[in-house]
Amino acid sequence: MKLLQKAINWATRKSPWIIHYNAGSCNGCDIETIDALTPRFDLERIGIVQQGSPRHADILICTGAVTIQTKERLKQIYDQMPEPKYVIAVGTCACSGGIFDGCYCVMGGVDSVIPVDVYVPGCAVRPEAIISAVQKLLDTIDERKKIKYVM
Amino acid sequence: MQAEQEIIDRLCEKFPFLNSRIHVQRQKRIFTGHLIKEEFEQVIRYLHDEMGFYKANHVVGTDEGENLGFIYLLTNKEGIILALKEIAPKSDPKINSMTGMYPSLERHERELVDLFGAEVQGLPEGPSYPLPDGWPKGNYPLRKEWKPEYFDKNTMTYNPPVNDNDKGKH
Repeated sequence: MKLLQKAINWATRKSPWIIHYNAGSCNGCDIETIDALTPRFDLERIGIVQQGSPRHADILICTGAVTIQTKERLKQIYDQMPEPKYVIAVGTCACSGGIFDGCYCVMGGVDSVIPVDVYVPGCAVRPEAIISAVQKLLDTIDERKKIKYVM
Repeated sequence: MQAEQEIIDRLCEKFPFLNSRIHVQRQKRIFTGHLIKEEFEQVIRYLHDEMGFYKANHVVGTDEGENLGFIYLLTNKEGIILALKEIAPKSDPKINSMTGMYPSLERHERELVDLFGAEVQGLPEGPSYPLPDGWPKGNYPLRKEWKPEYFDKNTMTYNPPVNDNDKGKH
């Protein structure tokens, strides 16, 4: 691994910025995601800051099944994020489409539109599960621990 | 059940065609049979103007085979919900908008237009709701003959099988 790549990985691991996008969720997972960020569960203690703009973000936290209406917007947000970028699908609907799979206006899970790195099932997801998912994702960025969590 | 029965008696007295087509389903719930457009409009106007059914909670669309059904749920101050049903043939699904009496029904009637293909006359101009942009015309996803598995979501086209025998394969 080149020195520059090592430095980028170190910086990403230490202070990842996230953006949260709702692709058609019922808001249950969104509430839990916000809950994970706020002081009670405090995702910020592992260096995470929520960002308003995808251009400044490293991790996209996406909730909900992707509908036809939000498909293009989700792609645009993903394309605007700088490399290296990671996606976490939060909730059963984001993983597979959930109960909305097969509906006339639902494409399916987030992975039907953009590549996903971590899947967090649950309806709704517990904040602890989101924190665990983020921590595991950050560990995979570290080459030395990559074998530990095969995803 | 006294108040519900009084409402039914009063309606049957005013509109003889409602006899044996209206009943108390349970406490605070009154159901009617399917009424045609002219009957329905007389009844709903009387309920709104004279009997204090001041609020419309919801509109439900149903697919009745050859016909489309529309169930308007109205409430009065005692909390009694009256389900008034209207029916229109699929070949000519024209109904009149009730937004003049109940302005809150605008969104619900737009859903009937998009999802069931009803022609709601008198509905104010506005965007389509709730189907996504670029949805092909003539596709009404909540009608029973429309199958989601024949709809290609990437190209937004509906491709039913040519032969009826192919239906079982999907």
